[in-house]
Amino acid sequence: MKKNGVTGLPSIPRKHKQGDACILGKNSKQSIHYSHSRAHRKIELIHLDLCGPLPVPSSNGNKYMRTFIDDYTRMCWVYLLKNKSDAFQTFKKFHTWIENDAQSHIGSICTDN
Amino acid sequence: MPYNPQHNRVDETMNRTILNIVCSMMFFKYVKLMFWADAVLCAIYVNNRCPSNAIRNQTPYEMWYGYIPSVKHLRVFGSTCYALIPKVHRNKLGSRSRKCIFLGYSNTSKAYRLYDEVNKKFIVSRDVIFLE
Repeated sequence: MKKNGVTGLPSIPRKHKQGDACILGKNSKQSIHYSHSRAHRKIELIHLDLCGPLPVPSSNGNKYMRTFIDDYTRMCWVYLLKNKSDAFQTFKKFHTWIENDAQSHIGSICTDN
Repeated sequence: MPYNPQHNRVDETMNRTILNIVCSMMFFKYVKLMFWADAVLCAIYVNNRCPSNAIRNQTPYEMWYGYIPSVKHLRVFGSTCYALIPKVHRNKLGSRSRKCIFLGYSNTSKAYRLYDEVNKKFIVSRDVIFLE
């Protein structure tokens, strides 16, 4: 607050205890710090995400897409799904395929759910 | 964490990249919206062969397979094309090809995926003439 902007204002102590109402009404998202570490070999880190439902079903009736990104090479693969519940099944399919293709094991995965 | 897509930066950025490519590809040739899935697969096929800043302007394909990809066979998505009808399926006086829309690349063989609008069928063909 600007000093001496108005007159007659009682002095408010800076550090007063935060009330319940303040937290209920003013809580917001914490700032996000991105990790800058990168993988050092193929499929050490896989990013995956589920996108959808898209407004129009595709010609095969798919509504969702699951993307897999390898952190080291930035290679991207997409699987198309009919239902959201197929997501884990797709991951299992991808898992066996990629470990066969890259001849190594997935280190870790990064996903938002 | 659910509802925290910001944590998943790499993937969300890729989603945006893919959907940007898909939208512009589909509007450029006025492709029907039901072909979005083919557009997505095609967009990723192309994107994996494009240089990326995150890997010092190499292509993801090169990083993964260890050799430089060829882009000779890339075509404009949604363009009209003519696929050759195999000899056993045509007669002497019949037309030699059928008109199709180009919808991407077959992931099992070295061929193009096409959609035949007359018969409402997806076909895979090697012998295609494009009108881009």
